[in-house]
Amino acid sequence: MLDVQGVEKRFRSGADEVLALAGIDLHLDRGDFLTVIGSNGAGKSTLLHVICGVLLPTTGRVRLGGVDVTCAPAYRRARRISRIVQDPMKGTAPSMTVAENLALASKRRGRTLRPAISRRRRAAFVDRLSDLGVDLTTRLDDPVSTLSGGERQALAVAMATLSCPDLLLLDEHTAALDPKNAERIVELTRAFVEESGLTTIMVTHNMDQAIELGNRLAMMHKGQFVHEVRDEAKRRARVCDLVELFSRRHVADDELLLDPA
Amino acid sequence: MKRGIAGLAVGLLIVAIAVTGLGAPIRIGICKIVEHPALDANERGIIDALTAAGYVEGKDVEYILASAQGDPNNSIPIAQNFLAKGVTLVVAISTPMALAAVEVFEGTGVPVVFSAVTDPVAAGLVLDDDDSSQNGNVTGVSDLIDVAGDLALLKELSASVRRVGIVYNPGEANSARLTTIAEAAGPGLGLSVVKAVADTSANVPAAAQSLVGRVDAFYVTTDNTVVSAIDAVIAAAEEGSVPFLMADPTSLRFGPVLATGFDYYKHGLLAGDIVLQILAGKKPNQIPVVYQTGAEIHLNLDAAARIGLEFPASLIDRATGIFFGGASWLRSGD
Amino acid sequence: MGSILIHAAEQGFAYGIAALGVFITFRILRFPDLTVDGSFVTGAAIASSLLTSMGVDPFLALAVAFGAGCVAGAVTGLLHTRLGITDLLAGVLSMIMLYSINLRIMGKPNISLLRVTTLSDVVEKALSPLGAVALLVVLAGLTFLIKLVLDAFFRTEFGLALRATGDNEAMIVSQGVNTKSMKVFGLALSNGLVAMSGALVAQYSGFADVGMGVGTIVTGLAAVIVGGSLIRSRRIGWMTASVLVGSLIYRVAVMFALRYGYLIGFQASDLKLVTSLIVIVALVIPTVRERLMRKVGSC
Repeated sequence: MLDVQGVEKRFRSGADEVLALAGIDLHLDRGDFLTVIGSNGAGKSTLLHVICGVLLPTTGRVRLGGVDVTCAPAYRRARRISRIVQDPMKGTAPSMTVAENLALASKRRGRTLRPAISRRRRAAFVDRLSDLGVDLTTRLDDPVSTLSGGERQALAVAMATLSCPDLLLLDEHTAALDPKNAERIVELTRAFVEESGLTTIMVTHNMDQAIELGNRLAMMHKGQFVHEVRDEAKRRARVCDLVELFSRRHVADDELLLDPA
Repeated sequence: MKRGIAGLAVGLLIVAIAVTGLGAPIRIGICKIVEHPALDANERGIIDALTAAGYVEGKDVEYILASAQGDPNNSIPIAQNFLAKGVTLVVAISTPMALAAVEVFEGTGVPVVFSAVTDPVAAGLVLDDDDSSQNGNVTGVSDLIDVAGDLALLKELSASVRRVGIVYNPGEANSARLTTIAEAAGPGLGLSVVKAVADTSANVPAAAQSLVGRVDAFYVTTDNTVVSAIDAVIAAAEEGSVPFLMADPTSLRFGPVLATGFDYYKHGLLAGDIVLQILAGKKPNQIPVVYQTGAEIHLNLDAAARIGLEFPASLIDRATGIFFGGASWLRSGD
Repeated sequence: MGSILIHAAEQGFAYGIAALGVFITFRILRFPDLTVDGSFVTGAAIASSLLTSMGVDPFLALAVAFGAGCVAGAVTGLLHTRLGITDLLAGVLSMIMLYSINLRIMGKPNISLLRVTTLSDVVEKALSPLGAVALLVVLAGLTFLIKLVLDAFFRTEFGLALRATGDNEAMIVSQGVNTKSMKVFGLALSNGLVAMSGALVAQYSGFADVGMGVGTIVTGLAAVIVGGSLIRSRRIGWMTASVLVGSLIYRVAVMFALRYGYLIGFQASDLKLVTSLIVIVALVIPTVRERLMRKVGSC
């Protein structure tokens, strides 16, 4: 499904060069759900950006479904990749309505001069929202700017799933929410991914999430994968194991250790 | 001649009294494209001509003055407002203003008198400038300057002048037209014209500099863009030690060697005279377009000294004004 | 009085089409596009040249002007998206280039349309039973038609993507939209409308002047902002309606400044000052009303 080979990404900051990704190799099979943890600056978000095309790698290749997409622009990859970002303000068009946002997400290629919101599509939006248990069905015509952060992120999940993508990228998509909303969004995500069997990468700071969700777990440090568990091993993993791993790697990170358990 | 003018004035006075006898003052709308010394003088000349003929402002005649403030988009609303206010006659100063007045007053029977229009035929204001019978309810005064005469003056100033540099803005209707005329007239006088374009005042210095060393004289017509940056052309002419003729007498003291042109106050008097003829009962199509003649010649002796130039006596004799020792001296020729 | 209001309304609609163009760049795309000062004249220049030299149909001249404006806008868009020139500078460069191009199209700085058949002539002849309001009816109808087409367009899949490009570019990229193409398209559409407005104004005024585009951006923005402050809605239909209302208010302000300015002691040279003061009043009214309501509410 997804093949990342020898990807490096360097950023220039003044005279210095920062190596954000230092040789990443990653292979996901269809239906894989990978959670990625790591300290700040480990390169987790950069990796997602390279996969979805917002950033181009300095070296290395990215293949999606067997097709080399290393140099394809982000908008073209977006036809097959859905992404939910951390900031609820960034994942939706604020001055447009809920229905308009859903309409934007429901078709990712060949946009025509047909009305974007037909009666049939409206009904489909209501179905999708109630399937997901998102309580926005009565607010289809409200501008997104009037929604709370949690509601916007729920909408973002609905949007990410509308177009039936091949790959779903979750970039700390619950980090900006309060614990209750975060839990709701995680539930939403889990339900959807399990039901659709979507190939998914989720970056998170929350170790419990990382352990609960998905069939694979990887830890990043200084632009590299330093540890990975999958399937049976992952099911047996505990938070304390991960913390120990971190310590052993001398990568102990206060934030990670203090994350709510 | 003097008696003739006096007689005309008396005649007009009688007409004026007859008109005033009717009671309410007549309304005249006077509009101009922008506030500018020449156009302001033009406006004053029109009013003074009527006042001199006995039309007392406020009693016999009421003036509605308007300016488009440099924006051609304002010209139509101004004309429409004149129409709504029921003016009996419109005086439109400048080409866009005249075009707007003619468009709005078409078919209303209200006469339009234009002023400070360079080429009324090319602008479509009138069909024929001599034979006015086919013209509509429109006539006026043209300020087409005597370009060939100006070029001849440069030749008279110094026989060695062969290449004349013109700085101009192709976006200004008058200037573009005059430059074309100069190009056509040059060869007949043994002169070639070298053009330099400045689309804004800020670009005048570069345009003028580009001509230094390539021309034997500078010439600037009635070009508002160039006039507002005239110092740059003067500097370029002095750098090249060549004479500079400017077709705007009001700019003489700034330092061109030679200035020619019309007195726009007198231009206004001519337009005022047409207004008086119409008020006296003539139809606009009975009045041919008037081309102002008798351009004045002004000499700047200080500027000439700076480039080591002496004026021939023939020129000094004909000069209306002379700038010398930092001050203007007017000749009381008439 | 009545005829003056009719004329102000005619101008409000004719310039309103340009204001709709400015609305598309400033409000929808959030792209500060200065091309319009040039493309307005391009429309006027193309239409006048076609009318005087070939005697084409006045309505066809509008369509050709629209096309020329689209090209001008697309150039700005390509300068920005393909060559990476900043938005403001790309617009300024296009505007400057258009000055020379407009002069080339016209051949001289001012073209008179007094002796050719213009849209006003056609309309006044065809709709003579309507009398003084014939032209107003046609201009209002044409402008409204354009408004309705725009409204419908902005509700299509494509139009929605254009709106989202201005609203949240990063988000709409991740929904598979090529925002560079969207910007080029939006700028083309905007400048097409502005050029069409220029062609309409030239035919209405009886002349095209190379200096008539100066300030298109300012009056267009004034219409967008004044209308937007009076009608505060996020619905696209109301937004475009507010632009036309703003344009009408601006032209009425000019007319009032001309007609009644003298009553408060203003003279000819104060035209722009009075116009702006009237626009300021229109802008402030909603704020004052809101403040009054709040005061009443708190009492």
